[in-house]
Amino acid sequence: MDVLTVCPYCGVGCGIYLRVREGRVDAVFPSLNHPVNRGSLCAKGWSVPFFLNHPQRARHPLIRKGNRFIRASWDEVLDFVAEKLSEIKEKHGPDAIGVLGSAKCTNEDNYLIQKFARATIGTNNVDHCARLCHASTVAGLIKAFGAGAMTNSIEEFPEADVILITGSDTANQHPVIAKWIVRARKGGTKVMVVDPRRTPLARIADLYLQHRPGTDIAWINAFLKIIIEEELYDKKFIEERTENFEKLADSLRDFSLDWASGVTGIPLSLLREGTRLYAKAERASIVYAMGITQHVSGTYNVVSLANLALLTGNVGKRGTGVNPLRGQNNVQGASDLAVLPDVLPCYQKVDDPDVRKRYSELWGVEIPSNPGLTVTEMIHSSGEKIRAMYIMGENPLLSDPDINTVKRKLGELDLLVVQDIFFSETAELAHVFLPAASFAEKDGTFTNTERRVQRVRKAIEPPGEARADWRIIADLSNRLGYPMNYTHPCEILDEIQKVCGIYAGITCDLLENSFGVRWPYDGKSKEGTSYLHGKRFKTKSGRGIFHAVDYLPPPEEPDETYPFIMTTGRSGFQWHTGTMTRRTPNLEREAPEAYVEINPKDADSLGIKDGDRVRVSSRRGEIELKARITGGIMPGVVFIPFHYKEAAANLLTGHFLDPISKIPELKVTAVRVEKC
Amino acid sequence: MLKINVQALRKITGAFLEEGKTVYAPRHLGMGDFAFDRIENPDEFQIEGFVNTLLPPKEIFFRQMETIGRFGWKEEGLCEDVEPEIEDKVLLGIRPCDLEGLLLIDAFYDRVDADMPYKRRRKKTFIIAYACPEPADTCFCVETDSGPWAKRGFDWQLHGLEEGIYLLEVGSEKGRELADRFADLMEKAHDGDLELLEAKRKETLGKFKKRPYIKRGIGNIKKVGEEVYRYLGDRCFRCGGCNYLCPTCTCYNVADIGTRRGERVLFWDSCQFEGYSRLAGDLNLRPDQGSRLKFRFECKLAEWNTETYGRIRCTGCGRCIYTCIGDADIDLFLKKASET
Ligand code: SF4
Ligand code: SF4
Ligand code: SF4
Ligand code: SF4
Repeated sequence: MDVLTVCPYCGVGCGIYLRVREGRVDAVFPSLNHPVNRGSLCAKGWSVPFFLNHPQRARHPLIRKGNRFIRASWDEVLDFVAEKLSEIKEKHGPDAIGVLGSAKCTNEDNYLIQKFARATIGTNNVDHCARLCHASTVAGLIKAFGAGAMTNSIEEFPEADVILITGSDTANQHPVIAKWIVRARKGGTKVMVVDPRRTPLARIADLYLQHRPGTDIAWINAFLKIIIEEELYDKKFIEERTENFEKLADSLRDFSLDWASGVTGIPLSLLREGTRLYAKAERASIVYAMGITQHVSGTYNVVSLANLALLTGNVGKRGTGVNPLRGQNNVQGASDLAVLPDVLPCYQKVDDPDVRKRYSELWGVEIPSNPGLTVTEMIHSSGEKIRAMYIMGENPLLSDPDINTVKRKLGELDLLVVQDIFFSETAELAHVFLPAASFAEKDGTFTNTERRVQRVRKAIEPPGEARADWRIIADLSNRLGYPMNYTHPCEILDEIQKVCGIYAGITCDLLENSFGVRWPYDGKSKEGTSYLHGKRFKTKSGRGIFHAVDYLPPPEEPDETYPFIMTTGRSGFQWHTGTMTRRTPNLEREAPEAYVEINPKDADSLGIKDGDRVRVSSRRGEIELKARITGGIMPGVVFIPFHYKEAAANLLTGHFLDPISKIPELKVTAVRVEKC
Repeated sequence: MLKINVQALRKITGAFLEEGKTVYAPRHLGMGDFAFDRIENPDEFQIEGFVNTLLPPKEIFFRQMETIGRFGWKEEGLCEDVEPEIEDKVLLGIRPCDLEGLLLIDAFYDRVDADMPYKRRRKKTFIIAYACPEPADTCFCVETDSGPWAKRGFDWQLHGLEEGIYLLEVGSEKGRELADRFADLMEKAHDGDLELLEAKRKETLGKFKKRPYIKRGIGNIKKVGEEVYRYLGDRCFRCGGCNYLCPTCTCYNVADIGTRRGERVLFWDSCQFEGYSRLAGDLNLRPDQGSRLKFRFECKLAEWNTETYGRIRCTGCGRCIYTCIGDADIDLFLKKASET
């Protein structure tokens, strides 16, 4: 039997079939006709069955007794958690409880977990790992366009004349989107990459600009300045569709291109060449990912890219736009459905009384008015303001910056509940561990990076006593006195499409014989909306808004003691904290150990040879790992993938936050490199 | 030649199922996707109306991932083999390129004396091939002498005359026996049918995209310069798909999953991975992607294949072309090779 579902790894959302034999998934293969992947998968997608069948999959609920975990029944653990949560709520108030949803879980799981936080517990302390990847996208694009999502669709890449890729190692992180870009290029599309690392796509690009990490606003402003200077902007579009152009132009009057070239490290001639390539294109598309977002200036980096698109009229038509590639398979959905502390489903501000009134009526309970804490804030106030945390499907102990502090803080909680498919590093600190069903063992929907809501289908039974996340939450909520009587995720989706406008009309019936529908769904087109902002922007005025953005240097500049900039990222063969991929033999073989990429010049002056063990330290910690010498990274910069607990890059990163989106600075950390 | 229609084919399939044979055939999964899989009743298969399945039927014999043993410390030193199920099989609707693929894998295993699940499963398989009427634009079996109709290896081969009506060609002794057994469900083909078949075949051949560079490229394989491999190496993103989907790839790896308790699994491997050729001490025989692509193309196309297998080991199925997430497929390679 072959069951059509969605790849659980990245936000591309490839359509896959799981082949079931005797109750086990023993093969996976891509759909040939799926509009996203058309017969392709990346190495991660091809190895999905491994983690599903892994003997370490969590099978039973566990409860801590002293230093050990012992098996308990579902009734016991849920009663215990319910009792503890009520106790803490009574004693410290609902805001002493924090809840983390998960971009790996379904829309239905996530909708329920935020409803659980808000309606059952009574707090807006609910967030998820999007805080660490695209919080700044949501904040930035809402400022400029009024909607925090990829403006255009994957299928449109071949229609672009130019694709500008920045801060995205697309070939490794969104491989099947790289397929579209490579094929577009074969069809005549020009590809330009701006990135501190010479990524695989940079190697085959028509133009490659290498800039210093953290200087994005400088090169983007240079682009804007050159466009205005050379009058390459789209006057008609600016007049009819935007506001605040004058403000932007004013802010750039004294902007020095020489200075920008110096700060970014990009020669002025290349800045001009790049600008012209982008601005002169009939249709130009911007693609970006965490190289743009994970900075203290993350929101403004995104806003700057939006400026670029608005200035050249590259929004609101096919083959253009500002296109954030979302990391996790369902980070779009988890954000849409408000696993975020300041909004209710569909990005409706929780501090707006009208919005609150509507939801209070819908959910039959008063919604708390004060925006809650973010992931990072919750963790850092653990043991103080926050007394209990409920973590569904996340592993902050490895994914969040400054691990030592995270570990200490989580250890100070009165109650830590972790719900996951494997007993993760974070679970080791938990009081209660709840085994969850994986994507292959439950029904629901995921929303991919291009807003495509797709059906996730149950192919097999969960291992042991593991249960679907939505069911665990509902059971717990019932115990806490707020009834959640759903019998199937389709009922939850039905509620979602009623309360959240962008999901309106998207039901299980609609998704049944389909490869998914991109929100918003107009009730007609088979695959939903291809691109946003066609006639109006989603802002109040309906216009795209320019913002004057000043360059903000990264919080840590290299100095004598820490002379290098460390930037972090991922390997194409591991996934985040490795809970699934490190248990997958062919992926683990391909990327078995941590390494630091270093330029040959730097290696030479430090006396480091390829393969040597080196120590990398920052103001917060140190790790030892292998040196990989490559010309793909500029002198003065080193790169470390963050997957490996034996050399966790996040021991080094700090907790400097973007003041607007609260995303941490993960791309620029001052470090020292020495031979061990 | 005999003549048979799809209803009769379903009846025969029903008889096979009743006798306890397992039948593998293409099935429509919805929205134009097809897969070769075990069917439980004779209404389930659909052999025409699409070009080919995405997974080659080799997956039935050589599984993407299969448990070959179990171990456990707690369970008093559990250590046992897991045997592959051996069934009397019927493979219905296999395309000529994929049939040639199976024959090549057979030949590969004939040379080694290993007791592989593939070998065990491959025994007792009755093969009903289906000659392709309509190629996809990635198909090039005409250039590799492996289609669009099969010349060997089948027990029966079906040639479509019109929807649901086929000429049935017998290709083996076993095929003859079964054709006799089901004689009342078939009729003799007339001269007119054979003429129609000839016309259909001509029409089919005319539908193939012209690729004169394929044969030239294969002839040049020894001469291909490093710059071609480097160019392609830059365009491979290491998904492994070209090997996984290839009907002639045989490479596998074995790993133990789990520590205290777990399974020994055998699974598809790909020579496009860096780890495939990594040795102890991080030495690598093929240190860059270009050399890995060279290895793959030579594995399929180099002359030694003809010496060992009597033919090249690419059957022109085209899967590695459409599945490539980069731009390093065999078609592009042969184009470049033909220019050297
Ligand atoms: S590109 Fe992303 S969604 Fe597609 S197979 Fe790879 S990990 Fe899965
Ligand atoms: S090399 Fe490519 S075209 Fe040839 S048989 Fe293998 S998958 Fe098919
Ligand atoms: S070496 Fe490569 S091309 Fe040859 S059979 Fe193995 S995986 Fe296939
Ligand atoms: S299919 Fe393409 S990208 Fe994938 S391993 Fe093969 S050549 Fe490389």
